[in-house]
Amino acid sequence: MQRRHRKTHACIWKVLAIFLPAMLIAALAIRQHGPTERTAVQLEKPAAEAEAPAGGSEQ
Amino acid sequence: MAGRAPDPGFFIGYLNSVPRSLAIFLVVGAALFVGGMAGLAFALGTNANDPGDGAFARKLGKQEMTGVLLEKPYPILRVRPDANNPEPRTVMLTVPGKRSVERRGKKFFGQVVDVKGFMFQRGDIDMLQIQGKKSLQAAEAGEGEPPPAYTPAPAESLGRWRLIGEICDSKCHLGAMRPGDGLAHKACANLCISSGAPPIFVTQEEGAVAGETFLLLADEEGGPLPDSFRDYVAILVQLEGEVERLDDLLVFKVDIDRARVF
Amino acid sequence: MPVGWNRNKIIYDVVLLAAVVAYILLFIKIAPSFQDVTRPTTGIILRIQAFGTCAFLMLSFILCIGPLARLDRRFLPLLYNRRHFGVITCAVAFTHASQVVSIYFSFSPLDKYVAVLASNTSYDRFLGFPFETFGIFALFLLLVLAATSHDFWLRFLTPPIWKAIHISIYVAYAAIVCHIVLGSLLSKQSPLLAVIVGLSVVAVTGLHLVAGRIERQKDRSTAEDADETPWVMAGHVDDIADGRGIVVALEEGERVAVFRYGDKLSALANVCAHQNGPLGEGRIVDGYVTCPWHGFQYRPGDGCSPPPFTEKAATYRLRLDGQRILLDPRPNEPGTYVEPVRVTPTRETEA
Repeated sequence: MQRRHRKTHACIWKVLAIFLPAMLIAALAIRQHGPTERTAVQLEKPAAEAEAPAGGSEQ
Repeated sequence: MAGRAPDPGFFIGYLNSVPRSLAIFLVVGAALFVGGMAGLAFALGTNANDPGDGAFARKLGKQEMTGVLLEKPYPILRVRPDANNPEPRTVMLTVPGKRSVERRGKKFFGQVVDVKGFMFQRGDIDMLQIQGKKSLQAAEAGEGEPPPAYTPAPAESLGRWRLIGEICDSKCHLGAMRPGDGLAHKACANLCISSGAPPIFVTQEEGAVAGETFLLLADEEGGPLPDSFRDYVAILVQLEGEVERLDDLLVFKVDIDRARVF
Repeated sequence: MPVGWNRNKIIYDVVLLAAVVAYILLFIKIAPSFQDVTRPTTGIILRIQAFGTCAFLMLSFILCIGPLARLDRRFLPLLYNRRHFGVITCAVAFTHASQVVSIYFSFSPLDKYVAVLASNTSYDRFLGFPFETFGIFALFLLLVLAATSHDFWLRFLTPPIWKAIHISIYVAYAAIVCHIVLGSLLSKQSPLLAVIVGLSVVAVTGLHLVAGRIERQKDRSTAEDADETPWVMAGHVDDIADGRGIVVALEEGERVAVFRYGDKLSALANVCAHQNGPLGEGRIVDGYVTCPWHGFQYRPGDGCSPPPFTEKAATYRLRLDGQRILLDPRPNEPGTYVEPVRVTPTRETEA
């Protein structure tokens, strides 16, 4: 009986010795770090501003 | 063999005598344990992230304001300028607890109302917690005055933007809780948002759009965000959409399909 | 009397409570004034952090006690009252959880316990995973273990079942590590907590692996067969000091404790009936084999505990071949009397 317990303990800790560090490393790997450079990008100018230069070029 | 190992003294718990060498070991161990725990408490306790300057601004006292109550994307008040605040402004609204303004506000949407309550403030963004008796009612005319009317300025488009940041619930992030962001707070943020607190986008870069860091979130049509958006709360995400200015409040009308985890 | 309160247990609990009180007070009362923050962290969130980290550290210590006691006997007194350590840890973890529910999940139209389960359902991703689930699971295990920690439950459930249930503390530890990793380490936290969790994982798993390795080596160095089957060589008379025992590993994986007391030798199963403690590492105290874990006692001749206790250990037959001890590896029914073998001392053995 005691031997069975020793085996169960050993088995559990072998699994945890792989799983727990893997979990920690995975966490550190996918941990989000914000970008350091400028991140806000204006994709389109407001409609009003965009139309104004276009109108100007036609004149 | 056990018999040959140096014997630190055989300990039997229920006999009150403890061998002297073992007693010394245990006393030192106990001191190290208590001291170690105290040291760890101090190290972890002082190691907090700055939760920001958001706070329930009770010291400002009870605020009273008049303006147009809008339903979408979330209950907001386009505040009519007055003598104290000559500039028009827009404040997000909440009620005490994690509850929506909607139940009390629905019969007034689109109308000019008088509201009373206390402010949550963080940086230059604020939110009014409607609180107290007669704190939300149709605006009353002063004696000899015409019925109050107010037409807020139309929304001003600031163009289409791609921004990186975190979706938070406005109430906690503005000071109901410090910290009011991050994964530990995610479920609370979800609960607040689904209970009616307006979600805000906190840009990673300070002052990312027109000098603002906080933007009220909406879907592309200007309505509330869908429930599926809860997966994006409390983590760094990249969102795209049109930014509109309502007085001093920016609204980020995000393209739901283009949202992604950063 | 093995069970019940005594001075050592009271001292143990006082030290534990002192550590918990020192931890919580320092964390929530003193440390905040040293924080570099614009505005202070909300009080209840500080308390959540304090009780949560305290429970994790306590559980880490608890899990180190077992292997430490295998590696160095001086840690055995920590094992003696380990269950109180567990119950106090459970109380600290419960305080953490109830504060979380009272602030994060209250004040909404939803019932707070429904809100705990329904507020975050992002189970399909790592970032933003509902880490509370791991905490709830671990707390459930801690509550079951705390509730069944008394010796009443040990007797009621029988030691094998009790042990099997209580081994789930390892699962609880793994769940708590997941809880912290997914709820805090993935977020913008400073690296200190990550370092502490990492050290805990290294210490707890490392100690268990080392202790397990030593046990495995013991299991491998089995007793050699004697000339006459099925008898095996258990050792030499001079190997055993008076009042002590040696542990003999058998082929089948069982272990036998051979004790010497005065000029007599007796052999018992190495397994204490109380909690599987290693009897062979115990001592003869007042004529009884005494378990090093909780002091349960057995008569060396028949393996019976003195009245009113009813525990029994299996006995084994011994005989001498000169100064060599031979052991019959077939166990007798627990409680069977076996006449002790008498030795003639060849030299003075230690007291």
